[in-house]
Amino acid sequence: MRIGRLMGQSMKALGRNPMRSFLVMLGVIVGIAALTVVVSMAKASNRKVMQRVNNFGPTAIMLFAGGGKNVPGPDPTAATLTFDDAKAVESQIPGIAMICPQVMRLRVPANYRDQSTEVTIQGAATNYQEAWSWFVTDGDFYDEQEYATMARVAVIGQTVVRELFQGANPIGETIQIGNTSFRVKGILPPRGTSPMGGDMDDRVVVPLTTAMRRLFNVTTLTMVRVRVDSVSDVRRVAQEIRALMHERHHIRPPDLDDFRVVASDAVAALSEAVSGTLNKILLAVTGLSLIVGGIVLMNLMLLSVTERRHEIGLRRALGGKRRDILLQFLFESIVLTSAGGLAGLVLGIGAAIIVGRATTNATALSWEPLALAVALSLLVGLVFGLVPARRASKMPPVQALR
Amino acid sequence: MLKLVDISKTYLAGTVETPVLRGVTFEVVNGEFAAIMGASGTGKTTLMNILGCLDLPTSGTYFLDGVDVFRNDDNTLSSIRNQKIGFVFQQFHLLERASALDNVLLPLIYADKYPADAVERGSAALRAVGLGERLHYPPGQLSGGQQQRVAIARALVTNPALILADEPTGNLDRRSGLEVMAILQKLNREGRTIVLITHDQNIAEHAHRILTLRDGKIFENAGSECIRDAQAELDSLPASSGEPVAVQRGAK
Repeated sequence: MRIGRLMGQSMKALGRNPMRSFLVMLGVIVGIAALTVVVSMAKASNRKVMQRVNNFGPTAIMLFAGGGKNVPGPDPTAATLTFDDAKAVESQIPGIAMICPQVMRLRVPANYRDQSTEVTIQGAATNYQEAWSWFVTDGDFYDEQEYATMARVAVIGQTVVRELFQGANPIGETIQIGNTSFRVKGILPPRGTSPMGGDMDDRVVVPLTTAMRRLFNVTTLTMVRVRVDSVSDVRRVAQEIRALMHERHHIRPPDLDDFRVVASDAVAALSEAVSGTLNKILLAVTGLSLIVGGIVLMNLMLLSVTERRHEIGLRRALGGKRRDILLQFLFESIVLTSAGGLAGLVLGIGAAIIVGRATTNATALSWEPLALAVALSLLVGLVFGLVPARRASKMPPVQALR
Repeated sequence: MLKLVDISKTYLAGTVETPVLRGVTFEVVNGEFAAIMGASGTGKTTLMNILGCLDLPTSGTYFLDGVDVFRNDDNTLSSIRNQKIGFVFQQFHLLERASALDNVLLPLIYADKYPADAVERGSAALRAVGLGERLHYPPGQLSGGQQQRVAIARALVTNPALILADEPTGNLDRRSGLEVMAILQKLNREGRTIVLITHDQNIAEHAHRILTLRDGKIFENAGSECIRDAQAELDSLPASSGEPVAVQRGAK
């Protein structure tokens, strides 16, 4: 095949000038290596976003007491959310699977013998496990009987276990919260970081009744966790909760809301806003560096075309058609960028592993940077190789030989 | 074999027309060895480019091996060059970092069909010019005369109808030049048609026939047919001091 012979000529020409070949590749190597690192970092942060959404619950909506816009999270000082609000939401809005009314206090001191720590107290209804998709693995959750009798029982998270018990079995032991003693009934499995960045494992979950009367002496709720039937209902139900709350609390713009509704889609948007923007900037910079690499390639190839004027004239004289010359030089560019791309990929994977280990920036390796690197380096070679290749092919043989 | 009819070429620099060839007409028959002579600036190179299908005349007709050359497009001209013409240039024009054999095989890369025995043909061509032992040497390790012989082997490998040699001895010392001329005379005796372009009367006298280019027209020199035999001249030269290798590197 003629095309095979032309490729052979390209390869030989490259081999005859290894230094120039390497310099041309350098730009692409750096660009693709950077791209690989950035893509693997973006991949990792995407995974983090997905994990946060999953921790929040993809079908979950949180209705918080208290207004404000910026900080999504509980506001323990607000006393605007009532049981009746929760019941109205459950009974009037279609598509809701369950609600779990809760009170919540952050950084409450807790003791076990001589150990002490700060925990997050959550007083919740008995459907807490289902509402959070979070089921005790050791011991039991409190039952209806204990809920009705304001029993002093608690279910604790992994951080609490670690801080207070240091390896001892907590089940059946008694912990002090404020002046009240609670018997540990169950242990929740690890859950990790909340969408707002807090530790979800520092929780002590107690019956809502106990928390309201015995611990905090309040009659209002901190929040209501709502589970909808399907992910596609999240946005609509969130809207309807807002509308219903406006109506129940007689809020009309420009009055400010005395509640906040946070849905899983907002959590994804929030997490993305933090990591996504940075990733986009990094990707843009990397893309730019590839373009710079392409321009370097183009200029070095143009230089090469001028330097090899006699060779081009000779090839034309010996019977090379314009297209043959075009293809030879285009192949040279593509071979260089592909080789540069592969080298950059190897370097980038190495760098991604090192970055992942040495810094707090997680990296995730996957097939995407591989495919992207191969496709982009081919593209760079094709696009930026075209101008020099065309110039070579357009050279009149008589002038080239002179 | 080849026939030029009223070929003229006028270069245009801005609005100034410079006529270089003004109606060149001549014919070279099969198996002939013709030399075209002319002082510098008489249009030798222009004529060579037209004969080599590298440049188009302003007017006129050129038949090569039965083909009306300038009725063809650029692609077909490339094929004609590839199949019918073997070039030998003054500056050799070899690929510097490629072996002698790779250089000789270059025209076959652009052949419509790459012969299965290409390497064998290339080696044979190099043997024919006395370089059978130097197949894998790059031009840099060959003397000027040897480089020009590689170029002749390259011109032979496609078995072309015409060998077009443009000042083939211009960059060579006397001995190497005579070696090249001896090879060309040998090839001609074997039946090849050769057109040699030179400014040097001594070189031109190795041809059957000398044509002189003057004032853009061609004149036939009668009675100058092949009065020199390059091999005999070589034999009469005082014995050289060793191999001609490194006598002269390809001048640029």
